[in-house]
Amino acid sequence: MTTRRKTKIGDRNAALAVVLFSLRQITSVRSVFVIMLLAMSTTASIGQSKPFKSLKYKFHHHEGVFYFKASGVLARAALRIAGEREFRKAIRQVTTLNFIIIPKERFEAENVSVRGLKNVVIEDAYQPLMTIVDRGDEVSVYMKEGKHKNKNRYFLLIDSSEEVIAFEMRGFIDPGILRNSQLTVNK
Amino acid sequence: MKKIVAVFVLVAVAGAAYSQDAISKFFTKYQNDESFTQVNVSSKMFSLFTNMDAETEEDKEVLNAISKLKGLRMIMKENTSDARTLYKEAYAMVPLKEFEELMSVRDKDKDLKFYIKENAGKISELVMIMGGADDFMVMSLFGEIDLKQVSRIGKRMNVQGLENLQKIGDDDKKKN
Repeated sequence: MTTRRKTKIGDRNAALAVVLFSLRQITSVRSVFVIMLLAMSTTASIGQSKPFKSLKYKFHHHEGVFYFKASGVLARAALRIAGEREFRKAIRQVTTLNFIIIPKERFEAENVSVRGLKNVVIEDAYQPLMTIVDRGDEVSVYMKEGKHKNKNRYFLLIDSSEEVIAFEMRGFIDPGILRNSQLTVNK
Repeated sequence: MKKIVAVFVLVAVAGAAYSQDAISKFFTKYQNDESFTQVNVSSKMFSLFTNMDAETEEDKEVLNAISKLKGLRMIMKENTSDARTLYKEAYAMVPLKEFEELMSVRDKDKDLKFYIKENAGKISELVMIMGGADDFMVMSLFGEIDLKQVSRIGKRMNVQGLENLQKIGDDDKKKN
C-alpha cells in the first residue's frame, strides 16, 4: 500500500500511473482498459462525505490534481480485467468509489495539513481502523458505519513525500478478506 | 487557591507521564524514524471481525477472542545491522514491575521474548520482542487477551512470531 514512486506529479499521465500503482501494479495492457473504464464511470451518482467534498472543492481545479469517481460495478469490472481477484471480492458490496491525488506542494500551498484533514475525517464521525507508517509514507484507514452495513463508508488517506491520496468507498468491505491481506508487513 | 490547582495539575501531569510505560517510550522514541515500519490497529478494526460468520467452533473462539482486543501496535525494522542492539534496548525497557516474562524462544537466528501484564487475573497486555540477525520487531497487543487464542489470531492476521505461543498450549497438554 505504500506510494513510493519516481513519477513526477504534474501531468495527468503521472497521476494515472499512481492510480494504477494503487490498484496493485496492474500490468500495462490491462491498465489501459482500467483507465478507460474508470474514466467512463464519472457519470455515476456518488454520495461523498464531508472530508472528501472539502478536498474536492479545494483542489479539483488545481494543476496536477487527479480526481475520479466510479461506481462499484465499474471498479469491480476494472479489477476483474486487472486480475485482482481478492481485492475485487473484498469490494463486492461497494457501491461507489471516489479517488483524489493531490501533489504535496498544492496541499501545502493551500495551507492544508494532513493532520488537519484527519481532524475533519474524525469530526465527520469516521473511526480510525488502522495506520501503517512505512519509510515515511503513512496510510490511515477510517470507517463510518451506516444504518445498514452496505451504507458503510471507508476513507483511506495516504500521505507520502510527493502527494496526498484520499480514497473513499461506500458500501461494505468484507473484513475477512481485509484480514487476509493486512499486517503482512513483518513477513 | 491557584496554588492548589497548580499542584493538582502538576500531580496529574506527573501521573500521566509515569503511566506511559517503557514500551510506549520505545514507540515514541522511534516514531519519527523513517527506517522503521509502524502499524497501529484500533479496537474498531477488531470489532469488525465480530460481524463475520464463523464456520467452525474454532473460528468462533478466535473471533470471540479478537472481539475482546482493544488494539495492536507494532514497530519493526528490516534489513538492519543493529537488530540485536534494538532487541536488547527494547527488552531492557520493559518495566518488570508491571510485566512478567512469559517465555523466551530462540528460533534459528531469532530471539523472541514475550511479556504479559495482568490486571485482576486477566491478561491486559502482551508484548512480543523479536530480534534476528537483520530483523527487529516489537509488538504490543492490548485488551482482554486469551493466550490460548493468541497464536491462532497471529496466524490469521499474519503476525510473525505469535505462533510460538502455541507452545504454551502444547506444554499444558503434555503435562495433562
